[in-house]
Amino acid sequence: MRYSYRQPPKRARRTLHTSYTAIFLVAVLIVLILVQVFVPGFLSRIARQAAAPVWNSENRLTAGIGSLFEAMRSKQGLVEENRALEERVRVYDAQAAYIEALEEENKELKALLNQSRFDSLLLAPILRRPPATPYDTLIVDVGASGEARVGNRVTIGGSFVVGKLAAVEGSVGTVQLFSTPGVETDVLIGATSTSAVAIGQGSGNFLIRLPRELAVSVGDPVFLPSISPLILGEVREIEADTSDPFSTIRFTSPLSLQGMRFVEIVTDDREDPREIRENIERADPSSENMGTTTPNAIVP
Amino acid sequence: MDPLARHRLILNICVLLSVLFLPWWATIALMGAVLFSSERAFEVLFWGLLMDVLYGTPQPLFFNITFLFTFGAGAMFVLAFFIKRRLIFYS
Repeated sequence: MRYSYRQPPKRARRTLHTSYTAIFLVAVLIVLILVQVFVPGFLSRIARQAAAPVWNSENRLTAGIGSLFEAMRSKQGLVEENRALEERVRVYDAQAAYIEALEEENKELKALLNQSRFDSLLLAPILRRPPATPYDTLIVDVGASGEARVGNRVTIGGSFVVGKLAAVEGSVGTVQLFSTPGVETDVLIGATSTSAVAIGQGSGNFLIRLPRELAVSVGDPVFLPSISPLILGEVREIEADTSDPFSTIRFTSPLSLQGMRFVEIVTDDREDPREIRENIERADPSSENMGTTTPNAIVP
Repeated sequence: MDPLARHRLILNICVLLSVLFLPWWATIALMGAVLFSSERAFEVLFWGLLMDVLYGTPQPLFFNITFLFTFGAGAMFVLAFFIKRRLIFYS
């Protein structure tokens, strides 16, 4: 026997009867949308300030549960893990010493140019991250100091750049990731510093279209044009078709935001290209004749 | 309290928690559940707006609008309205 769950035709033709409640609710919704459009940040500030304590407590709870599971792991497993970690620490120590020497040298070179790498970084706990945030954004706690400003770059480990502060409401900031779908970012690829425009594809993925002749290979780092080598990603795949004069380059961020608890906000964004140019000229007047020299040239 | 109203209230609390703690697609699924659990679930429009207010940034892919979820919730509401009008469960 067949059942039909459709209403008889007469009922199907029933029209929408609008109640006063419905009209009132829709009117309220329209008012709220208009408030959000004409007073940007007003509703967001209220909502985020209200949600921030809840998100913070969730972070603390998650950390607490994580430590509880850690404590429950077997002793033997911990001993083995400890041995493996000690081995890794030895390797990292050696690498760290090398990096430290390079950083020292780098600092001296920049000091010569009257430049300093970010003097002030603000450590910001991540409150929400994709996929919980639908717009490929991060919600971070910027604190009450008021140092964070819209447009500040957001980095991880001081060298990996992930996005910019799109909004700051009280102690809550919204970071728009460079990988947000459709966002275009000027980048430099590889040691040759090939200029290109990266288009965000979401979830830390980017796409670049470049003439096939340009030498780009898988594994090449992708930088933001700045005096400091801020790494945006690493080339993962190059699609080239003989019938197409352009190749499609796909690159991803080398770090996953899933494991990160903090990001750094560069609060002393002193890397305005004009300012850098002026500083270089001040440090070395002869560079006025260098014509097209830009800070990009010293990006490794 | 009317069992239907209680059911609706519980679902809406779940939507609020999902807005705060769960991935966006879980919120969409719960909003769908709210829409089909009651005759006129206008509250989904507010949940959509809350998503945009909390997480919204201009989206270059969608002409820099910040109300994707509000419009999406509106579209879901209209779609659910026409589907429900044709199903005997809602007669």
